[in-house]
Amino acid sequence: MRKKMLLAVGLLLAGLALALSGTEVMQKVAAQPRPATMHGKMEMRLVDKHGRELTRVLETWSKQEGDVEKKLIKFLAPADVKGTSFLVISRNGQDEMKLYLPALKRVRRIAGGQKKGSFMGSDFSYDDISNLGKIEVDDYENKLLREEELNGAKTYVVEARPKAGVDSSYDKQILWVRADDFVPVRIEFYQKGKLVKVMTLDQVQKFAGGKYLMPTHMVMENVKSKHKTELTMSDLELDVDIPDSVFSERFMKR
Amino acid sequence: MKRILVLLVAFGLAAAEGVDIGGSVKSNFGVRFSDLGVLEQSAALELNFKYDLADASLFASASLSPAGARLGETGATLYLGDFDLSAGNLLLSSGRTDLFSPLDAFNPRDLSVPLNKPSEQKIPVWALALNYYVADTQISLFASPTFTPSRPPAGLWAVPAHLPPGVIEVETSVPAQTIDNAVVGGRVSSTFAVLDGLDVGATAIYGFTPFPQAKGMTYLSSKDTDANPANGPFRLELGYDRRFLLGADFALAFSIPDVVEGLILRGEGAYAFLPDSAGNNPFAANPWAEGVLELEYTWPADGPHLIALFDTRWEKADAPAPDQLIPRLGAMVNYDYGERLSLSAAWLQNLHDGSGLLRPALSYTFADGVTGELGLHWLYGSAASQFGVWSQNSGLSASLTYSF
Repeated sequence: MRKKMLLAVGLLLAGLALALSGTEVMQKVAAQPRPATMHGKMEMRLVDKHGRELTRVLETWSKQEGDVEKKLIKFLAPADVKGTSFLVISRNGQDEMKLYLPALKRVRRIAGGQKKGSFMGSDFSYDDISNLGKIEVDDYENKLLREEELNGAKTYVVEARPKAGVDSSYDKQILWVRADDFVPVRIEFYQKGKLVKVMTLDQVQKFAGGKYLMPTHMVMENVKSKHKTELTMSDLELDVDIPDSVFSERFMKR
Repeated sequence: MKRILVLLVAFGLAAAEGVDIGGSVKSNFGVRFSDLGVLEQSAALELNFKYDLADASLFASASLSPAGARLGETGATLYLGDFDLSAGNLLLSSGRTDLFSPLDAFNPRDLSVPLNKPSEQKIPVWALALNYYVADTQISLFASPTFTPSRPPAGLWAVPAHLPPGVIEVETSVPAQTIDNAVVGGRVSSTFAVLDGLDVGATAIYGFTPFPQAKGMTYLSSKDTDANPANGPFRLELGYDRRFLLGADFALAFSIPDVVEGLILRGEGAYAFLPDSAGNNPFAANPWAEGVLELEYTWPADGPHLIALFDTRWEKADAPAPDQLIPRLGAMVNYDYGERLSLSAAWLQNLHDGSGLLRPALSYTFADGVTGELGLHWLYGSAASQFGVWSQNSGLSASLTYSF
């Protein structure tokens, strides 16, 4: 009996020694290799609670150089928003966002409230879109809540709260991070303590011979309205040469 | 019409090559409250195509309606290193403010229905445009070889003409289609890291007044019945004066810590140099200046989007009348209720003559590319005021658009 107890305590201590903290889990998420550039297509399917659908098709370009991240999104469909483009340049956490509306033939600077608002009627906000795949571990207090099995895979459940002074659309996020590859597969977004949206990353594919793990299908669901947006990535090209001129007002208008 | 047919054939050929083709079918219907008369009923098919090559882009558009066929923006752009060169029937844009944008003056306007969207009122003109991009700065030069006049309000929107006593004829002279009557301009705009981001620009356009003005009166002796030249009859001669428009604009993104974030302040100012700077000659256009300041804010978490603006226009009057100062207020609010329903309202108030326009509307997306709009426009003020002149046309309008 005593031996068994000692063994159990020993295993518990060993387990504690091996367990990761929330910050360590998120550091491993952030340490995943990410392509310096990415180009591809994105289909957004907006589905309301009655099952009625609207579809938007986008072409995206992104590039990371040190502390500067650039992202350009162009609408290909539907026809009435075709040609609209959206540019985000993030420098040291500060986002510069511009929108080109072809009917006006003008590039408009957008700011503030619009960043936290819906991106073209979807359940993603401008901030969600510009922060896709971006993890700033040091901006958050990360706490490991538990380990849990999700869709047959072991996951770490981590609560991430923005530190004081960090500009975030959400006051809390809870992430389910797969233990084997440290890919987040579910994220809950909270505002004023209430769950507002849930993002499920249900398709993660390997690229560049397994160097990169990229989500290629994700669903963002608004908990209250039961509205959801499905995002499917296709024709992805990683680490291709994307000149800086792509992330410009000139290219937005092309 | 031939041009349109050629364009349509081009569309067909283009389709075979798999270039980007699209368009829209739009129908409008409007009724006015005063007599329940039909204010507008129209249908139009618009076709667009674009073909992108590595260093060039070809584009064309045409609009077909019962009123006729119109060639839209059609031409080509060459991308030459840091330069873009566009040629064709072009629409160009300058300035930054909404509702009133005195610097956006290169293209003439079709104001036959003055309540149409500003972007729909621009008339493309044959032009060359050269853009040079360096770092965060864009330098543009543009020229149209000939002058194209704007179209004034027409039909039910026509403004009653008040002819001087004795005038029995009006004759309008349009500048000859010669190169010395070209319209030319330039624009420089740049972006700076000031507060949350600052864009500034400066524009100069050497062109003509968009609408004609009195150039002289001719006594028509052969038609005189009382043999008194002082009573006329006269022919009023109208013409277009050369105008040099100079101005600057900016857009500044900023936040007030702990109070409000994400404000955009935009401004635009322009001065029009015209022949009669002193206001001594009733047959020459007088200078004017206009300044617009607007503030844009979007309430967080999908709240409404608001633009509030203040516009002031100064016009030199012919002596001995005092110069006119016309202040105007405006606001636009837009709220997206989900991805299908959008509610909007626009309000304009002329503080000089007390007239105004209130325009609430809603639009609904039935399916991808299928949008319906229902809008009310209420024009108020005295019959001689800016908006009150159309108060009989206050009414309701509906449209359905299918974009493909």
